[in-house]
Amino acid sequence: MFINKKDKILIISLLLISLFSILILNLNQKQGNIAYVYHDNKLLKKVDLNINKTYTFDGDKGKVIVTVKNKKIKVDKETSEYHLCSKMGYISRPHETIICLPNKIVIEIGGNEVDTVVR
Amino acid sequence: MDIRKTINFSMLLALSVVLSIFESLIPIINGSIPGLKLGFANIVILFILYRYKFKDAIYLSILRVILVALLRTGFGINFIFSLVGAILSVSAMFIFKKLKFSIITVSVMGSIFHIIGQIITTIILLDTFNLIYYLPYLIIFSVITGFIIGVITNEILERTKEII
Repeated sequence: MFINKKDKILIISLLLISLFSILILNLNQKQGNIAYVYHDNKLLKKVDLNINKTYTFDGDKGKVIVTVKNKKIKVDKETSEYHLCSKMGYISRPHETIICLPNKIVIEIGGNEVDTVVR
Repeated sequence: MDIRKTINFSMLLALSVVLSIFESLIPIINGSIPGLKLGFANIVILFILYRYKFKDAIYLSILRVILVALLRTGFGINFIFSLVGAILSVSAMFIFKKLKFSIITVSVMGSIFHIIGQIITTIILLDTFNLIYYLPYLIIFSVITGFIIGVITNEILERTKEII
């Protein structure tokens, strides 16, 4: 398991670049305002995170129920084998995503848009 | 291909399939990032890369993905990004092995390229570019798992010098 110099250099560089990127990404601490819900790459709805509400979407396998509360969004119930989506919990920061593969539903928090949301 | 090699390969293929299915039962962050795994199956692939040839490793990788799809996941998006990830992973491992890096680095690169391949495929298929923001975390995760896999595989290679 002879680790030479070039191995160390490569791995440490990778770690440094990653840590650096994480720092930069986390400078953006604000909560997101809009969540985009897609089904099979088509935008279903722009969800305003400032309004507490429950939405129902039709996924490939059945209904996917999504709740917005306190500027956070999560998948409450979904029709799928392992229910991985609902176990994900909530997301709220810009660029975070929830991906429900079996239902082909994707929920993304937008970056900091300035425009208002069309409900 | 002589009969001994065929038998050895069948066993290794079965082993990698079992490892793959077993580790899919261990959820990492509850499926937020599709396909994020610990990479146990890479132990077998890495082993073949060092004990046999690149051609064998890539055949086995592809067969493993197909078998796992037949047995478990079906042939949807999972299958596609698993295939891409596996091929990219073995190719990257081969390149870094040729560049004379140590087995640890080869393993780390295998893990990194595996998850990068899967993420990029998911981004393309689901049109969700946001996933790319997870990349730095994934690289760190891959370095750690790749390191462990590399150590394990190295031990196995040492201890099975006479056997297989």
